[in-house]
Amino acid sequence: MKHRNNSGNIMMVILLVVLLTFLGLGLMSFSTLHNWIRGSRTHKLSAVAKMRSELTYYLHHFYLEVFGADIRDFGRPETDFFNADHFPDTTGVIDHRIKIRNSFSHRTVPKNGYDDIRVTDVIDVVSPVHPYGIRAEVSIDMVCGQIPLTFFPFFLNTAGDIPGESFIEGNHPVNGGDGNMVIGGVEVERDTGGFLMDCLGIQGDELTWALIRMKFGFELSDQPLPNGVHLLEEGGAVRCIFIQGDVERLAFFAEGDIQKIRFVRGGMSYEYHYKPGEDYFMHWNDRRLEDKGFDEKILVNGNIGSLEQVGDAAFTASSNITLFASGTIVIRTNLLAALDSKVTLSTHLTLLSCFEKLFGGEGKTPGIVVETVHIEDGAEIQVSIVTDGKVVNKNPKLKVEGGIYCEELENQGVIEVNHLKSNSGCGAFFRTLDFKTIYHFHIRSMEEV
Amino acid sequence: MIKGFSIVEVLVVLALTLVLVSMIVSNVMESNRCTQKIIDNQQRLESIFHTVDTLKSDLTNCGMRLQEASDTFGFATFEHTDQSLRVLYGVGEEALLEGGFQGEVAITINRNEFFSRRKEVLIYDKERGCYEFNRIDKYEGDRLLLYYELQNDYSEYSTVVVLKEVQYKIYEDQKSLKRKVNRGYFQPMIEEVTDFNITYYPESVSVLYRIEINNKEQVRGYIFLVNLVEK
Repeated sequence: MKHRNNSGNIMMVILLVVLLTFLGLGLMSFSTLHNWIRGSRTHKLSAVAKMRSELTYYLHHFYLEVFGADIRDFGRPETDFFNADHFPDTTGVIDHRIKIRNSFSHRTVPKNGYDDIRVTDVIDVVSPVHPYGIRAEVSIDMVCGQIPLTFFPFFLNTAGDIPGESFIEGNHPVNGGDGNMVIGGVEVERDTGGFLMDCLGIQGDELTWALIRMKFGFELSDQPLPNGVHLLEEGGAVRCIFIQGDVERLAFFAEGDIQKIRFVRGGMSYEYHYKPGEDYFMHWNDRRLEDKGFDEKILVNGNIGSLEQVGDAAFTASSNITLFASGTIVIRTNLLAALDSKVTLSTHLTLLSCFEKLFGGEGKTPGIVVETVHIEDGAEIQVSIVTDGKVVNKNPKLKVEGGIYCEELENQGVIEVNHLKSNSGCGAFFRTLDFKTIYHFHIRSMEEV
Repeated sequence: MIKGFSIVEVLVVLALTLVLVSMIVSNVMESNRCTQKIIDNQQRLESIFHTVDTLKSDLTNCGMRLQEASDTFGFATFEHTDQSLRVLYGVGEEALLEGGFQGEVAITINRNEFFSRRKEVLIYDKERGCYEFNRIDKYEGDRLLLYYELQNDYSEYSTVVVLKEVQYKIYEDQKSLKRKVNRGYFQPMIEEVTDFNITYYPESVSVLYRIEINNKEQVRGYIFLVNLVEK
């Protein structure tokens, strides 16, 4: 009996020891696991934070390198500049063990006369001592070739080579949106004659009054068209409105989907209504041209004394008007498009004021002046401007939704440009020669891998 | 004669035993309480870590691969009230290999692991100025079939982005901060939350978040929304 009792006690003690051991080990392992998780987390956070810092620093460096180089120096910048020679594998600045690797790829979309190229750079940041990594994807969009002058938010093409940054500081053009401002002498093609011939549907090498007169049905001579408003109807559409002589007022206004244009010259008022993209065109004398559309081209051989908006909106959401003047155009009011649920990605008016020897003459100097009255908050115009003359802003604040190309600038305030492209076909006649520019630099993603 | 214990001796032993047992029981209970408290604290700490890590990761990713589209078409990738948050970002991106046309449900892209069934996608064409949200149905050969017909025409090289939408919301009655991904349900992230606050600083493109647990502990942090910075 005594022996059995001793044996029972020993078993109890052993059981107790085993239980305590398991409890202890359980508690220890729980704490160890917990500490291990915390340790790993802290370790990972610190490693990733370090790599993220290195990546941010490198991206800044990469951005400066990309915009510091003149990509015009490279025949095919997508491969000649964006490659491992210019951007070799490197190490971190803070931690030299961290490796930074670039992988470039590109795709080219051919456009009318130029290529739209997107270079994608995948930047991997890795460390040999950690299993973590950070990856960034950067896209660089550029255009190469004969680029329409309306492609740029602000393009001052001066004969001399002027420093862009000091010009911007002194003249206050502000780029509020996409793309880059171009300042300096760039070779461009301005084929005003070709543009006018295209608008008028004239074939041939050179624009002459005889050809224009023939187109409008006047007797052949080298004299200009009679002063007044002429309508060119051809091929089931109104091809363009041609005005010979100065226009005192030219007003745009929109009523629903109907675009209205009113000219005042010599005390007479002329009004046209049409629906963009539809066969609906109405004269000022209520004559409706059944089944005729309008190509939305207006050519003025003279100055436009006042370009205005009547009412809340100058343009319907579908309008795409091209207005050419051989003289100066003075903008006197805001020029805004009707609000629409559709996203506005292009301008509704392209203003061209360019020299053409056939149209040249005394009192006609190409240029665009913005001198609005009674607008306290600053003027806003939604237009693409192309002129081989001077752009003058007399407003303290001018917001341009579109773009400006000019050869001289007189800015008496601040011009803020938010770039919108022009859908006018004038880009085929007013464009750069072989030019290359980067218009977008996007960091598309930064993530752990 | 059988010797036994007197009633006094028995009472004394019982009293001593009671005292000892109550001391042991109270000690064990205290020990259990401490252990439970430690475990609770550790678990809460783990869920705080997990919540903060997830929130930081979502905020860091916010707007990723959607900068161009949100810039062009003006839709928000970051929205918040004082007590809720919504972020949108792309997890994968491909270009259309062929044009897509209105009324069609099939598009052609390079296949990758992100483009899987039921994923929400954004299709946009910057040139034509059109975009739409759609959903992936399935692959049919090399073609990706969508749930809904295309509403617009898209040119070759238009972009298709696989989206991830994450929402955070505090349920005050349940004292719970919950997270929802895409079309799923709100799932609890952390309990005993007495306050969740988000402040956005657009000028520095950053967010200050604050999570308060049990009216006592506060976790707060400042996150720079790196994927919303354009240049």
